[in-house]
Amino acid sequence: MALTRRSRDAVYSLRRDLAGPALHLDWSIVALSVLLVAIGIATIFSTTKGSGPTPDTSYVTRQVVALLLGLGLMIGLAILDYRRLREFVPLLYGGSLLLLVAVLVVGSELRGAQAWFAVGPFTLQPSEPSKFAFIVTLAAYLSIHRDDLTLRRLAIVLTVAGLPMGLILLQPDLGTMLVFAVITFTMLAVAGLPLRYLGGLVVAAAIGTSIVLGSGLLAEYQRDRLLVFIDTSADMSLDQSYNVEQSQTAISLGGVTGWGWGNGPQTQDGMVPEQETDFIFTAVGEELGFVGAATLLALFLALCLRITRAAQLARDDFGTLLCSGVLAMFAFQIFENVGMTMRIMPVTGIPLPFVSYGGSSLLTTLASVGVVLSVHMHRFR
Amino acid sequence: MSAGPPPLRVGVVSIVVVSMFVSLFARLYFLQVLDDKTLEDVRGAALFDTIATEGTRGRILDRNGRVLVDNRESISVTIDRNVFNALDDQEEVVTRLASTLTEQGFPTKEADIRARLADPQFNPFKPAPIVDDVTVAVEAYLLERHFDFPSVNVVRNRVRTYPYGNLAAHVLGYTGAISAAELDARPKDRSLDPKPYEPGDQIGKSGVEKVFESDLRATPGVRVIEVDATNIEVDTRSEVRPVSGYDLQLTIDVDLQATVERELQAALLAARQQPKRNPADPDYRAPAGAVVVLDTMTSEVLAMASFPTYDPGDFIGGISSSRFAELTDAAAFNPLFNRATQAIYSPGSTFKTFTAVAALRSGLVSPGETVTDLGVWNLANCTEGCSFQNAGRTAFGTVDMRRSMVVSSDVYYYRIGEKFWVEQGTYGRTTIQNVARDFGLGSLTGVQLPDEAAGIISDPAFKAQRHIDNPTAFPFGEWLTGDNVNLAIGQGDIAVTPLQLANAYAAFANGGTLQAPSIARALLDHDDGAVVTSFAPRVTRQVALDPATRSVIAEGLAGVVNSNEGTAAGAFSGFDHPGFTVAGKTGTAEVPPRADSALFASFAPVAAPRYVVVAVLEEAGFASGTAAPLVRRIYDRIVEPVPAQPVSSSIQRTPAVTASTLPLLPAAVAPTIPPAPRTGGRRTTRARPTWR
Repeated sequence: MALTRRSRDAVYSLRRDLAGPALHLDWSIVALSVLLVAIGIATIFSTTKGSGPTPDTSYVTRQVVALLLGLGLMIGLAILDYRRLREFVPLLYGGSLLLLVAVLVVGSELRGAQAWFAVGPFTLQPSEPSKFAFIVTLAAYLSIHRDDLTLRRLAIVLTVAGLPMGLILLQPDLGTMLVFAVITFTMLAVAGLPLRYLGGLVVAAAIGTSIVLGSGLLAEYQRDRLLVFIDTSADMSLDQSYNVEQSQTAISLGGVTGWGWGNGPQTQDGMVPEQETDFIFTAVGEELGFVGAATLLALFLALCLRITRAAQLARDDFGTLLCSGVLAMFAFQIFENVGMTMRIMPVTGIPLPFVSYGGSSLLTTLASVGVVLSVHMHRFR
Repeated sequence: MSAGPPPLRVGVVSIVVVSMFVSLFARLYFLQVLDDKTLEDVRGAALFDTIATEGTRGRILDRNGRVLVDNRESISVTIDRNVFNALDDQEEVVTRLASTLTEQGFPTKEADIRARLADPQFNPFKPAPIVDDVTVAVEAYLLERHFDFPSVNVVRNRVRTYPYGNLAAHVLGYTGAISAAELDARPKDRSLDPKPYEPGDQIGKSGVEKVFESDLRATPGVRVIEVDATNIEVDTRSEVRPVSGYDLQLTIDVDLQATVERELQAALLAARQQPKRNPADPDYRAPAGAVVVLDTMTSEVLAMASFPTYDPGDFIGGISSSRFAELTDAAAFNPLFNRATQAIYSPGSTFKTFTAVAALRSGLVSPGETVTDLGVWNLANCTEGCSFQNAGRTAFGTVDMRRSMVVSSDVYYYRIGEKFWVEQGTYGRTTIQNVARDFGLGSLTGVQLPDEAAGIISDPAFKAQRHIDNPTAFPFGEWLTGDNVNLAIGQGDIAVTPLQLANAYAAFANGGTLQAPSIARALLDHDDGAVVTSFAPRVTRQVALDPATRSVIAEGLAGVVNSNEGTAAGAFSGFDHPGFTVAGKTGTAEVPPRADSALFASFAPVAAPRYVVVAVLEEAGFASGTAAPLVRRIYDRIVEPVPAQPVSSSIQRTPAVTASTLPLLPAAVAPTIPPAPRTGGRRTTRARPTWR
């Protein structure tokens, strides 16, 4: 096929600049992200369409709107040189703290947590974007002090992390707080915090947890969730163990090949609460079976490995730390979320990235992917 | 980890990440491949559902096999209130449903729907019926647009249908959804209940529908179905089909019943239009009445009417609270009340038959013994209130037993009452009462109808006990001569149901065999009509009634109708049916402050009695001008029957003729209970509430 003059010029101009960002876009990350969101939307439809002849499309519609906004955000952040993100740190960190305070004052309560702003038909959950803002903030600070993390600086880091964590715990949203903790720990490790400090952090966390469990600081349900995980016969926890019982049952029912999309008996009867949000993996497991659920996990693993690669190839520590933070966030959320549906992790209210219904989560996820793409694209210039 | 550049440390992190994924894969593999479960493991017994299927309720037939109560399919629009209450757009659903039903030809207001939803009459756990008897077109319309009408459903039910409209409503009774209390009364262990009920099942609430509930009700079937995960039926595992209930054949004759109801209404209307003899007299409101026709040989009820009446069709699909309130309103004379068995009335002069039996049987008087009736009877050895009068103070001159009946001489019976009490050493203290009780007055007849009233026959012990129990309302406990004098003419503390009076006359007419009246003849197999159970006459007792005594009194009663000076002669003038001579007794009972009750008790033919007809008209004045003509017209139709006409369409309801469709009446006078006056002069009957 003969090339037109114009397209030939374009090819030539690309070749001329081998360091240009456009040449180094990691298409596999884009493809994996889109595929994961597609599986998510299909599963959301299956869990929310209802049983009538006219399916309920309101959930899917809202999710598609969030997807379109998220893709725009992802592309914008990919094109933007990630190094310029440092300029936005005060805005991102300050803004997210402001929103986290505001939500405690004027937010709406949903499912027992004061974590949402209602904006017309949409809701905004500020703890989601605050994770993104926190990763950027922490990466910016740690990249300056790499391999030179004194106790004082560690204290600064822990304060920077502690403020949003405390506000989120007040909502109360234990799961998201744990995500912050894991992000902080991982990024500190990648930034070269000495092993003895890392060990100290683990010991401090363990002591802190037992103190918190023993005191009245945790809401009843949070304590119950943790205790259910430890002792499934614990009496006071019927409500909590019900959820896990049902979700594990549904996954077992899926078998190797599943019941087929839209046909899972537990899913279609709504036996598993929150099956379009936190327990969406249950629906995948039951309707698509081991084949489908394992494929989903494989896609997640592939994405995590691509993000690892981006972290390793980054041109500077800021890039590496950004990618490490995103990796920690995704990996922990996937492990915790999928793990709780299969009863190898305690129940916490964490969405499954890309897949769970929820605009705030999807926007944050795609924005984080955008930053990873930017780190990868801008590794030569 | 301080060793090495960040990319290397990231590598360490990625190992952690990979190992986390490995554990997820392992767990997933275990759950879905090694330990996968089938739906049976998970849901177990929940996969099967047991459904009770209601069978066909037995029909109700008249004595000749004509169908009085049948079944048909009805399509109702319902709202499930549990679903409705959870809706966000309740207003819209109500508005849309009201306008849709109205467009489809069933005018419905939003307020109607709200009233139905709020009506406590309907079981809160069952869908509330909004409109009954809609067309198939409406059913299709609503089902097609199911999603525009959340919580709305269309159901098909088997409901009662009444080919003769409201005919014999009080005998038939009505059905309705079983109440919580009725459900509780069933055996707790459903397997011990031969015909178990589900909430919402129909049950007889009154009349023979209630008494014969266990025979009419079908034995429910049981279907065990297998459902899939979405609760949709996939297979029938086992099925026991329902068995229809028995048809009930009544003793009622439809033609006669229709005649009796029509004539009762006409007589009440006529009674209201009588001119008053004295402007100070109370109004002839004639609001209510009852007629009973019995077979003298078997005491089968051939017709039984009570006015005001109601339409059992109103109860199909659940009656609204406001309609039910109307039907039980005392101011509307309680149309649900069966006056034939549940109301008690002073028998007045119709009671003289039994006083006469007592006088002749005891030898107190002889048939030919005469009394000079000057219109007034003065008690001997009496200081206060000692003068008793005939009605209108009429002086009848020389009166013997026969003539005392014909002209209704009170004086003749005052004398008997006084003599019995004065000579109690010879005749006992309660001779009259004993005879009345022998004939079944003052006690339950045993008819197969619910909530029968027993009535009252007072005597010295009763009066004394009542005074002890309630000295304020009843300041005097001593039985005086005057009490006996009043009793002799059927006034005072004596009250009987129209059915009791009819049954007592039947026993008199047939020579003394008192039987429990029957309303049911037989139970029939629903499919082939074969007799399953037939109800034989139930003899209660043989009353000592000397044929000579009976014939003297019967001659007197025949004279009432057939002699020129008889009190019912005018009413029966022109009644010319050879071989069919009627005997009867008028009764005009005082019920102050209201107008008198008019009664007529009769049997015919005199030579070989077959029929007893008793009529009672409340607040209607003199019996000779009201109750007697009514009974005469009923005999006309017994001799020359007129066929009853079924209602044209079984769905089309005849409006129930109730008090409200007849000319308007003043509100009922609240029954007042004045203290019983010291017995002496012409005593008036204490006003007795005849309905509650």
